[in-house]
Amino acid sequence: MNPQLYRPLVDVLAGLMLVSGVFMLGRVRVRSLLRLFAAQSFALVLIAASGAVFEARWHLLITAGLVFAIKVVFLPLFMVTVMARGRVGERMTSSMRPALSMFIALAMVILGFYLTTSLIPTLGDNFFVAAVSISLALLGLLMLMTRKGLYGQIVGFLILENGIFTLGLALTGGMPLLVEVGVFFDVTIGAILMALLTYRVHGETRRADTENLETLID
Amino acid sequence: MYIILLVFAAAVTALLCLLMRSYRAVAVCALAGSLAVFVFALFTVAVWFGLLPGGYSALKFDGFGAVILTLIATVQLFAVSAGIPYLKAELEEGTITLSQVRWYGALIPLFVISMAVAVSANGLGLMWIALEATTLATTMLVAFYTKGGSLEAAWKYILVCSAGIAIGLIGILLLYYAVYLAGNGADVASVTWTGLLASAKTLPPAVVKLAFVFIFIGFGTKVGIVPMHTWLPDAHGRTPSPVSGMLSGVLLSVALLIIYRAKLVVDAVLGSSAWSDNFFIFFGALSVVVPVCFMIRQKNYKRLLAYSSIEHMGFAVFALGFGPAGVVFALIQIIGHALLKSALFFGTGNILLAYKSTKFEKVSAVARNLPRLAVLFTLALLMLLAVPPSPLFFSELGIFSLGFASHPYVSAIVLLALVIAAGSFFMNFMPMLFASHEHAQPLHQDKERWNAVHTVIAAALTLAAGFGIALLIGPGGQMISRIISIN
Repeated sequence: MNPQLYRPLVDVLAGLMLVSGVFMLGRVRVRSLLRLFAAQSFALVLIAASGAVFEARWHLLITAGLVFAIKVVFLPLFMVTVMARGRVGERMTSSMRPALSMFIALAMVILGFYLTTSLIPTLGDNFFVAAVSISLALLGLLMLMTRKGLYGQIVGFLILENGIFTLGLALTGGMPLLVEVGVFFDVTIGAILMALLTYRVHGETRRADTENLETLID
Repeated sequence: MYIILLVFAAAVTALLCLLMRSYRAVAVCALAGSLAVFVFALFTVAVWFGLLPGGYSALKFDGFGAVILTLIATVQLFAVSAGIPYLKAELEEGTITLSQVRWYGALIPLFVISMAVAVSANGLGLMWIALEATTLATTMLVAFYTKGGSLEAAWKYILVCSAGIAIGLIGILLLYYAVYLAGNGADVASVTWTGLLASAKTLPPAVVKLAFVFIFIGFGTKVGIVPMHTWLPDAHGRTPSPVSGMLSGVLLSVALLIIYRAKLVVDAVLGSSAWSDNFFIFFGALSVVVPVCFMIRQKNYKRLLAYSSIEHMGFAVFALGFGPAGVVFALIQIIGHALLKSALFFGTGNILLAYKSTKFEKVSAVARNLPRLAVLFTLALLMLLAVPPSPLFFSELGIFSLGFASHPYVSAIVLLALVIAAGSFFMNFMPMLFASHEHAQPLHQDKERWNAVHTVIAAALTLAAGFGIALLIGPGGQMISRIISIN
C-alpha cells in the first residue's frame, strides 16, 4: 500500500470524528445520538486499523477489533435495550437548546485547537489528530455537564473517552496492548454500570433524566 | 510475591462470598479473606523493608506507598469486622436481602484488590486501570440501599470520578509522550514511576508540567480536592457505614499518593519543587476552607464527617507543598485521619441502626442510650480534632510551624478554618451525644451490647494514640521521615 496515503487518510478520519462529535451535541433523540456515536467509534476503528496496516504496528489490530466489538456494536445496542426495557421516552433534555449547544461546541473545537498549538508545540505530523482528540475530550466534557438526560451524560463520558483514546494513538502510537485492554475493560464496565443505574432510575422515577436526582444538596 | 497472594486471596474471597448460602457463611468467608489480605499485606511491606527475602519487579513501593498499603490492610480488616454486626442487623430488619449481602461480600475484596494494586503498581498504565477499578468496585456499594438518594449519589459518583480519572489518563498519556520525545532508548511500552524518576533529567519539562496539571486535576477528583469534590459528601453519606469508613479512610489517600508520586517526577524534571508546591498550597488551602462552610450548618452527621474528610485531605495536600518536612507531616496526617475517621464512620453505623436516621435533629441522648459507643465516639471525635496524644496534633502543629514561616497569610486562613471546623463539630455532635430533645426518634433497640464495632473503634483509637505517643516520645517522627526517604 502507498505509505503516502496514511497521513491524509488518518487526518480525514479524525476530521470525521470531530464533525460527528459536534453534531452529537445537537441531537435530542437517544437513538440518533447513539447512531452518531457508533459512527464516530467506527472512524476510530479505522484510524487504529490503518495505523496497524501502514506502520506495521500489528497489535493495533486487536485494539481496533475491541473498539469495534464494544463501542460500535455492544454499547449502543445495550443502551437501546435498557431504554426499551425501561419504557422511557426517547427525547433527552438538556439545559441548553440544541442550536446553542452546537454553537458552543464549535467554540470548544477552536479552544481545543488553540490549546494543542500552544501547549504541545512538538507534535509535527500528528498535530491535527492530537488537536481533534483534545477537542473531542472538551466536547465530551461539555456534553457531560450540559445534558440532563442520563443517556446524554453516558454518551458524553464515552465521547471524552474516544477523544483520549485518539490522543493515545496520536501521541504514542498506542499504549502497550495489555494496558489498552485494561483501560478498555474499565471503560466498558463503567458504561455498563452507568446503564444499569439508569435502568434502576427508570424503575423508580419513570424518567430518563436527572430531574428526580437533585435532592442531595447542601 | 506476597502481593500476588494478596490479590489471589481477595479474589477467592469475592468468589466464595457469592456462593455462600447463609449470612453466617458469608461473614466467616469475608472475615477469613480479610485476615488473609491483612497478613499478606504485612508480608509485602516486610519484604519491601528488607525484613523478609523476595520481591517482584513489576510491583514496587516507595516508603509512602508501603505505609498506605499497611493502612489499606488495617482499615479493610476493621471495616469487614464492623460490617458483620451491622449487616446482620439490617438483614434481620429486612432492610436488605441475603443476595445483597453476598454482593457486598464480593465487592469489598475487589475494592481492596484495586486499591492495593493502584498503590503498588510501578507501571503507570496498570496503576490507572486499578484506580478506575476502585470507582467501579464501589459504585454498586454506594447504590447499595435501593432507596432515598442512593441512586443519585451513585450516579454522581461514577460519572464525576470516571470523568476525573479519564482526565488523569490524558496526563499519563502525556508522560508516555514525554518518554517517547526523550527517545533515550527507553522503551515507551513500559513507563514506570521508577523509570520516570531515573530518566527525569532527559524529559522535556513543558510536556511533563502539562501532564502534572492533568494528573492533579484528574486524580484530585478522587482525592476530593475542591472544586472537584462534589461527589464526595453524597457518596460517603449514602453508602453503608463500613464502606464510608473505607472510602474516607483509605481510598482518598490512595489517590493522593499517586498525585504525590507525580509531584516527585515533575520536581525531578524541573530540578526544584517551587512550581508544584504552589499547586498544593493553593488547592490544599481551598480544600480546607470551602468544606468548612458546609460543616457549620450541616444537618446530616454522615455528611458532616464526609466534609471533614475533604478538609483533612485538603490539609494533607496543603502539607505536601512544604518540602520534605511537609511530606512527613502529611503522612502523619493521613495515618491519623485514616484510623480515626474510619472509626467514626463505623460508629455512625450503630447510631443509624438505633435511631434510623442520619439527621442530627432525629438523634439525641446517645450517651444515655448507647453509653459504650458514646464514650468511644467522643474519644475518636476529640482525637480527630487533634487533641493530644492524637497524631493529628503533631502533624497540624508541624505544618503550621512550617506554614507560618513561609506563607503566613494562607496559613492563618487555614488555621482559622480548622478552628471553625472544630467548633462546628462541637456544635453539632455534642447535643446529639449528650442532650435530649423532643424531635428525636424513639430508640429502635432496647439495650446496647458490646459488639465488633466497639472493638474495632477501640482498636483504632489504641493504634492512633499509640502512634501519637510514639511521636511524642520521639522515635515516631524519625521513623516516618526515614520511611519516606526510601525510594
